[in-house]
Amino acid sequence: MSEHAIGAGVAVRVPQSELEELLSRCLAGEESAYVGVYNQYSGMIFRLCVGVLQQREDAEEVLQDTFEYAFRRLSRFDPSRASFATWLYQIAVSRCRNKRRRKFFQLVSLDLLSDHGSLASAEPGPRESALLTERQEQIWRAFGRLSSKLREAAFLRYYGGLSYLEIGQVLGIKTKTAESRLRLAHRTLKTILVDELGFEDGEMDP
Amino acid sequence: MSATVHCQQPESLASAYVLGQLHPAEHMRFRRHLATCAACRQAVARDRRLTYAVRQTIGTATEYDRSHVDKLIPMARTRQTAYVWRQPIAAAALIALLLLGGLSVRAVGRPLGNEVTATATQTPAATHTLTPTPQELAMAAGRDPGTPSHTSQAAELPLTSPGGARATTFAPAQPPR
Repeated sequence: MSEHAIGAGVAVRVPQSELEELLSRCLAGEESAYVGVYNQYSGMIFRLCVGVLQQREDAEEVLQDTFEYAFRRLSRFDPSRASFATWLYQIAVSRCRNKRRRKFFQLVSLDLLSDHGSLASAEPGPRESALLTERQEQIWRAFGRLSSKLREAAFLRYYGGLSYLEIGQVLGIKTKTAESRLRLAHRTLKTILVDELGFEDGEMDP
Repeated sequence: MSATVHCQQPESLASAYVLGQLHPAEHMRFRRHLATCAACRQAVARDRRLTYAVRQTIGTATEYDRSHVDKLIPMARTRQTAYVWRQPIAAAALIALLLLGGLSVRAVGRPLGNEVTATATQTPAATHTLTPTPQELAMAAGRDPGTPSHTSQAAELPLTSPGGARATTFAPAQPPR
C-alpha cells in the first residue's frame, strides 16, 4: 500500500537511539529527561488536542493529563508494538475522547437548562480567528463539522502524516477502517468546501 | 483497469491515489494513466490542493506559543519534585520503623521495670506498630508485600502522598514488566 501520496507528516521522529537513551534516563528517575521528552513531544500532542477538540483550554488540560499518564506508565511502553509518538498519540486521543464525553454531558445539561443554543459549535476561537485567513477559517469550520472519529483520523493523516497502520494503532481500529474513515473525511470536506461553499480550485491554493 | 473506467470515476480514484490508498500495482497503473488523461490529472490536482489546504489550515489553527506550552510542565516538575522528596520520607519512615522495632525487641527482652521505661516514651498510636512485620517493611520500601496478614497505617503513611491516591507523582524507577 502506497503511503507517500500525502507526503511526510509533522509527527516528531526522534532518532531511535536518542529516544531509547532519553527513556532509560526517565526510567532511572532523571528529571531533566522527563523535561526532554516533554519538550520533544508536547507540541505535537498539543496540536492534536487542539485539532480534535477545537478548544485551546481543553487542549491544554488534555496535554497535561496525557504527559502525566504517560510518565507514570513509561515502564509499560513497548517499542515493539508501536513507536513512542504513536503511543503518546494513543493516550492523547483517549483523553480527548474522555474530555469530549464529559463536556458533552455538561453541554447537554446546560442546553436543557437554557432551552436554546446548539451543541455543535465549530466556530473558531479568538486565537484561531487571529491566525487564519478568511478562507482558512472556512476550512477550519468545515474540519470542525466532521464527526469526531473522522476528525481524529483526518488530523493524524493530513497533519500528522501517519500511515494507515499507525492511525489504526492510535485509534484502536483496523487499517482498512482507518482508510475508509479518511476517504469519508476527504469526501465530506470536499462536499462542504467545493459543493456548499463553492471553493474554486484557486481558492484552495496556499 | 481501462482508461474509460478511470475517467468515468475520476474523483474516487484520484482521491484514493492522493490519499495513498491504492495498491502499489494500481498506483503505478493510475500514474501511467495520468500521463494520458487530462480529466484525471485535474482531479488529482484538485484533491492535492484540498489536502494541502486542509493541512496548512490545521497547522495554522493549531499553532502554539512554545513558551506557553512549556509553562504547562511546572505541574509535572512539581510532581517530579514531590517524588524526589517522597523517597527520603519513605526511607526515614523505614528507619524510624526499624528503630522502633529494635526498641520493641529490646524492651520485650528486658525485665518488666525497663519495659515500662521504654513504652513510656512512645505515643499511644505508635505502640501497636513497634514491631514491623516483613510485609510492613516491604511496603515501606515500596515493594509488593504479597498478601499481608494485616496492614499497618504507620507503615503505609509515608508511601501515601498528601493528596491521596489521585495526587499523582511520576514513578520513573519502576522496572519494566
